[in-house]
Amino acid sequence: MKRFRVIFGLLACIVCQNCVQPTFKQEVNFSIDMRNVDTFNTVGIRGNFEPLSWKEDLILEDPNSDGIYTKSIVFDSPFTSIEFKFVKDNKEYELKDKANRRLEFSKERKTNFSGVFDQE
Amino acid sequence: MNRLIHLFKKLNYPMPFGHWIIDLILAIPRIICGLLLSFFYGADKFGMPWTAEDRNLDLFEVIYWFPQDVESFGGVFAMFPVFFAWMGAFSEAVGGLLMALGFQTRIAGFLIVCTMLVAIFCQQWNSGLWGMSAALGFLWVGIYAMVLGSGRFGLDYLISKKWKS
Repeated sequence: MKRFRVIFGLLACIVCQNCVQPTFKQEVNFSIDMRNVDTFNTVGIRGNFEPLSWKEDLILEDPNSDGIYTKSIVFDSPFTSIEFKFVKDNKEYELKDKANRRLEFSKERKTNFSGVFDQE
Repeated sequence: MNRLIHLFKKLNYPMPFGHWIIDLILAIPRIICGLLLSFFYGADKFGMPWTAEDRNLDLFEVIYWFPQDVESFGGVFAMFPVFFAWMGAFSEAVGGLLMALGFQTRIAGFLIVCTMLVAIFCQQWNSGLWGMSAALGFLWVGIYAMVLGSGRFGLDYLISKKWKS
């Protein structure tokens, strides 16, 4: 009987201890240079982790009208990287037939990304 | 203690059929479903040695979104979401492997049956018949594994033979 108690005790320890994958808050500041793009109405970002998705854009903004669009996003993620692409006018993906952009999160919980639209 | 061991032996004693071909035919879906559960459905949300590295899961760790999913079922699941999420993921990943190996087949079958019933009634019910067809498939295989045990093609059979001799 003692042996069974030990087994059940061990099982309870496994189940009750921290057995759920931890997530971490990570703030990412995206900025994309749109000065080489002639005509467009909106620029958005799509990616593989919430709040990004591959179905809907998160729209970037250009408050000082310098052609560089920015957006700050907070991820609550267990992963150390994300994949994403920028999208023009809600439908036109950059880097056609090329791999997604990949961003490794920094350990300081704050990461900056800057790039040029349609250029790796 | 002896009664418990006796019960345990009884629980794992497989029911081989008259001819080995019947056991073989019944073992094929059991092994395939067990491997699918363990290597795909289970390993996607439970840390196993073969879980994809980009999942970032430690051994026996349940993926972050699964307890939230289980909590949304309500009732007793909302009271102990981590426990039920862990048990569900364990049943698929480890139970699937045990079922494929035919080791502790009835216990593995029982865990899989419970998990699939929860998946069907609490998660997939509104997805229609097509949505729940995968869980239904695993449920049927789990039921016969739970009733029949491993048959001739499983570790339980080899172990029970040793116990007999």
